[in-house]
Amino acid sequence: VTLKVATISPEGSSWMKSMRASAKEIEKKTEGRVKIKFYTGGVMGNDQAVLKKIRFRQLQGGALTSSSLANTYPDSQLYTLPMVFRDQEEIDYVRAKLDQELLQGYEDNGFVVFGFAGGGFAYLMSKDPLKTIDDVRSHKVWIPSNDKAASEIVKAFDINPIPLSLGDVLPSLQTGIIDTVATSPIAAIALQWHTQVKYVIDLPILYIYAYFTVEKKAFNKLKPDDQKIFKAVMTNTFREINEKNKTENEAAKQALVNFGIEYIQPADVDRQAWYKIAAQVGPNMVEQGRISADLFAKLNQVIEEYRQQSNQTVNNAATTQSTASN
Amino acid sequence: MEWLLPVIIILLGLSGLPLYIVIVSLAMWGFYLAEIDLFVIAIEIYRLTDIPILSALPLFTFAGYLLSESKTSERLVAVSKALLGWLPAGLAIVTLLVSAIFTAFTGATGATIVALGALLYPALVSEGYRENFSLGLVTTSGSLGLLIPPALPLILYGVIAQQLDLEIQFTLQDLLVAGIIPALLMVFLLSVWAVVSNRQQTSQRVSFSWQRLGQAAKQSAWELPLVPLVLIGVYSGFFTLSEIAVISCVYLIIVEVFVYKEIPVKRLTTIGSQAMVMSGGIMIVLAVSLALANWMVDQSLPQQLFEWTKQYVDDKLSFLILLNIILLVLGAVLDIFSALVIMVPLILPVAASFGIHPVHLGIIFLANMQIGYLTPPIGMNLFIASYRFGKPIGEIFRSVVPFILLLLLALLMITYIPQLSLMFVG
Amino acid sequence: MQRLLNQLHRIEQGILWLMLVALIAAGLLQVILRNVFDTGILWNETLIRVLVLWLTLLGALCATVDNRHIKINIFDRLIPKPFISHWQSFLHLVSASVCFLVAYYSFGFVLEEYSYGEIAFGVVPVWVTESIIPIGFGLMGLRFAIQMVTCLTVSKEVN
Ligand code: NA
Ligand code: NA
Repeated sequence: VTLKVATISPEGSSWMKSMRASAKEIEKKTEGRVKIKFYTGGVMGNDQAVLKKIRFRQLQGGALTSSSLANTYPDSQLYTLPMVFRDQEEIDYVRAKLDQELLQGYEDNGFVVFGFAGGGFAYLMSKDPLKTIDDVRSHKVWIPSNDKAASEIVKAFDINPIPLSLGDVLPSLQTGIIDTVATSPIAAIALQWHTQVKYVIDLPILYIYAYFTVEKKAFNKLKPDDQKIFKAVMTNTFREINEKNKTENEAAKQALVNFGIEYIQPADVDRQAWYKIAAQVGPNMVEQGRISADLFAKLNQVIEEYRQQSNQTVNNAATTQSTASN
Repeated sequence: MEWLLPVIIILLGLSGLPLYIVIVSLAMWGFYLAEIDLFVIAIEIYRLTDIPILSALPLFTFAGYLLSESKTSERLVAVSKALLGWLPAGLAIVTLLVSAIFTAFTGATGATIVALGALLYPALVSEGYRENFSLGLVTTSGSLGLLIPPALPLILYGVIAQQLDLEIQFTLQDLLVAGIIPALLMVFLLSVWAVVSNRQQTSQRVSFSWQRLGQAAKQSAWELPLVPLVLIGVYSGFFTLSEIAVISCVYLIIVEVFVYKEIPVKRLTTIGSQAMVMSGGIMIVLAVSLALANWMVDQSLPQQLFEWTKQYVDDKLSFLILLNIILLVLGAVLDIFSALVIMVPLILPVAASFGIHPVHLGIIFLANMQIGYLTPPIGMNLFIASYRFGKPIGEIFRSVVPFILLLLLALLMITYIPQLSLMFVG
Repeated sequence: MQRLLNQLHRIEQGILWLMLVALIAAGLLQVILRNVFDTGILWNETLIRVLVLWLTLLGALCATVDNRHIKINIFDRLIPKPFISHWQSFLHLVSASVCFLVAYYSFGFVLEEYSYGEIAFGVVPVWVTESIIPIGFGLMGLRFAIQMVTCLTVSKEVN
């Protein structure tokens, strides 16, 4: 069986190297029964076009980003709620508890997913030192046209965005058509946007991730043993990519500093103001039935759990320290 | 059967079956053989909506129609005559320059020969230029300017190239800038020829007068700003290409309808729908060729073509020679839009594997196609000039031979000196 | 019948013109919002792209009526004069069949998309924006079929 899968990553990227290596491993372990043919660099179109081609059976799978499957499986938007996570440790803790349930959810909705590869957080990057929400509102902010997660955010924060297609962003930054973008450090460097901004608000807005999916019907056509091999190899690959990305994210964050970009720390008041507005997005979506109440409650519970634990650790550390100083 | 049907379709295509029918049926047959659901045709056609700059195409077509429907060409000629008429072979050089600009806007659709040629050919003859020189000049000038933005073929090449997965990335800006020097080179070579071949001719060299220039400039004061608007807009990146297209349309409607009053409001509807028929005819071919290109990619055709080519050609230089020969032959039989949509998805990945920059390839491609406008059996400029000036095709073709040779020289320089195109890229 | 067709063609041309006006208006709105007010409407870009798709298919439809499609005529000169209109009507027959085939499959596509219920922009579902593909190709097929019949009658009259 040959599975045809598409990705927007170009040939030669580190992502494609990992994917090709695991494809080879799968082919070897299944004694040539399962092959993967890749269509790279977006030749099959964007996420929506790829999903259509999966639905109409030209493709059997693809690499997708964050909330691309929101229409088929609304709860897949859980991790892309704005500002629910404060840092990487928090998302690690949450994902360890909730990933399984989401993966099952994808599978119940017809897509076998083998894990998520985190791509770090998106930050607001600007030519000017922005701190407050009002600062952002008075700037020319780019958001991708027709992106669900992004439009939730601008709606929540009451920002008037300038929608442009990805290719127009760099020239628009150069000429001042826009002066503020939201993206991850890795993407900012890859797309050369880092040459055009000077400041980053050190406030993670949105968790970004990618995943690889094979349509369930196509996947079920593999022999059960081959399915197990496929799942094992891909799950492992995604665990590795996910870990590697964490280091790369940190490196990219540092690289931005080396490029002379300054991280702005908003005052506690401003930080709380951001969080307060962002906190309304989830409940609103639950109320409109766009995300299940159950899962959202679970997310909050896990986050709460983590924050209490880490507070305890901090307190314990503080206690130990004060004891020691005594 | 597997091969018989495509061969029949292609033969029908060479005998007058509309190109988009040919392409869509080849794509459907390919998908059918590959056991891919034919729904995919609709998905591919819908992918037109993924292309961000595509709206520039119908809008610039409309702008070009507005320009050809008014007396812009007369005013443009008057200005350049006042500006350059004092040069040796002044009027010939004026013809070359004005045609290049006019073609850039109207997209080498024959409008240049019909509007400008009809105006300049009698003027050239009455100024004492040889008749076959004049005929060759206006016929050749009809496609000069294909490399100057906002020429549609240039934009279309960018659109197609950016759908492919290439290692070297480029922006549309890069491509639009790249054509300028090669275009100027062609104008320069042809101008030199105009001077050299008419040195015995005692044409009136008008002396330069500020007054005449001022008068001419005043006449076309409303249209002249359009050229710098587009060029500066494109090169500064202050506007996106689609925005420039919108601004040009709105500006031209105001100028031609309300200032010069040369286009009655009622005629706007007709001109608009004519322009949309023209751009619809191009974009439907683009749409179905997305499907055919997708099938080629699905079947790994470009890789196979590359492997095959490598058996015969193993270095960049010989590949470029082969490329020029193939493109010249193609240019002889295909029109520019067909050649672009069919050949670019096939040739570009192969060329890229030989280390040719996609922007450079685009300029080479269009320079070849420009010559194709002048070569039988399918030479748009020959047909239009023959029709417009009432001369047999054979006579027209003989008159353009020296011009073709000069354009071939320019083509060689463009091909083997990549810096001409890539000077400002990256 | 002919009057009805002319009427239809005039309607098609009218829609084509309206789409062009809409395209210019939407584009102008974007330019003004961005340059004067530093803002934009999220779905405007999508609307523009959908308009281009509609202009493509409607433009191609009108090109069918006006017989202005891009063609390559190399071998058609080899066809003996008396058979030209037969040959033409044969080409129209091929074109009509291909168009109907595309219309058939894209109709199936739109039906599936309808049941999928995705939103393109504002309140407009994706299937509505896609519906021009079967409509456009269906009408083109119809036009080719009519031209085929016309060519046949002309050749009969000549004979
Ligand atoms: Na693009
Ligand atoms: Na030719």
